[in-house]
Amino acid sequence: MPYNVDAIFQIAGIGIIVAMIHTVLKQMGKEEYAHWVTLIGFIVVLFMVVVLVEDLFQTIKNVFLFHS
Amino acid sequence: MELLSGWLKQIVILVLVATFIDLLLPNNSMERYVKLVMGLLIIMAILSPLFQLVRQDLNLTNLAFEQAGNEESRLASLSAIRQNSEKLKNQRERMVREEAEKRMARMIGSKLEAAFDLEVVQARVKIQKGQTKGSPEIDEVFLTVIPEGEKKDTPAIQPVDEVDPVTIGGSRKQNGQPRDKPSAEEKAWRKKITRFLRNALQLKDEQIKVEILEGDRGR
Amino acid sequence: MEIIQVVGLGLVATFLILVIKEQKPVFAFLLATFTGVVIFLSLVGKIADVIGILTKLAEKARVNSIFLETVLKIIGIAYIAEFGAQVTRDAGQGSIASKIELAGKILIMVMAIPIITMMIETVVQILPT
Repeated sequence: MPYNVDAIFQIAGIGIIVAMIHTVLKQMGKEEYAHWVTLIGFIVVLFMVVVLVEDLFQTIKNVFLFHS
Repeated sequence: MELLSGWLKQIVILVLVATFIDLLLPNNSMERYVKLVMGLLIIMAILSPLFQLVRQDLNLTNLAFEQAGNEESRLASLSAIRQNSEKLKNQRERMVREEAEKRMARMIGSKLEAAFDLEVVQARVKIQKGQTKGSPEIDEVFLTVIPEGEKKDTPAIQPVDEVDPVTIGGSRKQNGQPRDKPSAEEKAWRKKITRFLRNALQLKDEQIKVEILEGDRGR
Repeated sequence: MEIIQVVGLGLVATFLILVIKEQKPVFAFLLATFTGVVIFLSLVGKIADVIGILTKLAEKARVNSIFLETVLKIIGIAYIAEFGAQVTRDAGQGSIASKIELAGKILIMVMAIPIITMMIETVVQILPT
């Protein structure tokens, strides 16, 4: 069960921090930097999710379709 | 009775599996479809004796889906590939050995001809098997030679000697037990050649088989 | 007590998503996907056990392996299609979600086609006699 449970908090933390930075940068009047930060944070989180989904697909393949 | 019990077992297990799967399934959007397919499968299982009765050639594997067939064929071909590679490797090894034997035989023949006053009719070298790397070790050397003086006396025999290999098969026995009348000359030749080869190739005496042919007494 | 772990994980994830959704809905969506996958992966081992037992039983009873393989493939297709459809629907793409479900249904029906074909052929063979 303790399968990457920490990663959930990591994702949430990244989200909150990115939102904070975004707000701060917006307040400072640097809109483009704010967008870049959001994009980078999104890519990092997306990478984590994609790795896990790939794992999921492999597992389903092993368990159901090829019953090895 | 055996048939009946197998048939019943099959149906029971299939119904059990179907029930489990109904429970395992996610939301109900797929449920109808899965139920239809499971129902078809169960009907198949119930009717399978009838099918076998009607069609002797019934073979479920023919009905298998393309993926399954592909997988099977790929697996089969994998083992076939392994076998093939083994075969090819053996063949290559054998060819390499034969080539090496041929070259060594030619080399020994030319050296002997250069060193002594004779003609080498046939030279064969046997290389030890299982020797893949490093320098190959010579197992045996078969030689069939004609001393130069006698060859000139009997030119007509010459082609026969070449066509009909002397040393194959019978040669070993012939070499093992001395021929009916080994003349002193022959013995001297044999000794000379053996000594030469022993020094040149670092072989033992029993690894070198020499046969002296003399025109009229050939065989 | 796996169920408590799963429920706790779900609750925590839900709270976090509620917090993030205000600022960044994209991150909330990714977090939801992640949580779903984690929960499923934690349960897939149990499903594999059940399926392994069923397979062993079927092998002992000499059930034709084609039947079992078909059934397993059907469940696998159903699970994956369901997962994809739910994730897309969460992201607000209802049309894509229904297309994924359609694909799952069609693929399941394709599994049944060889069986139907064989039954019809047999019936046709029986009838003239």
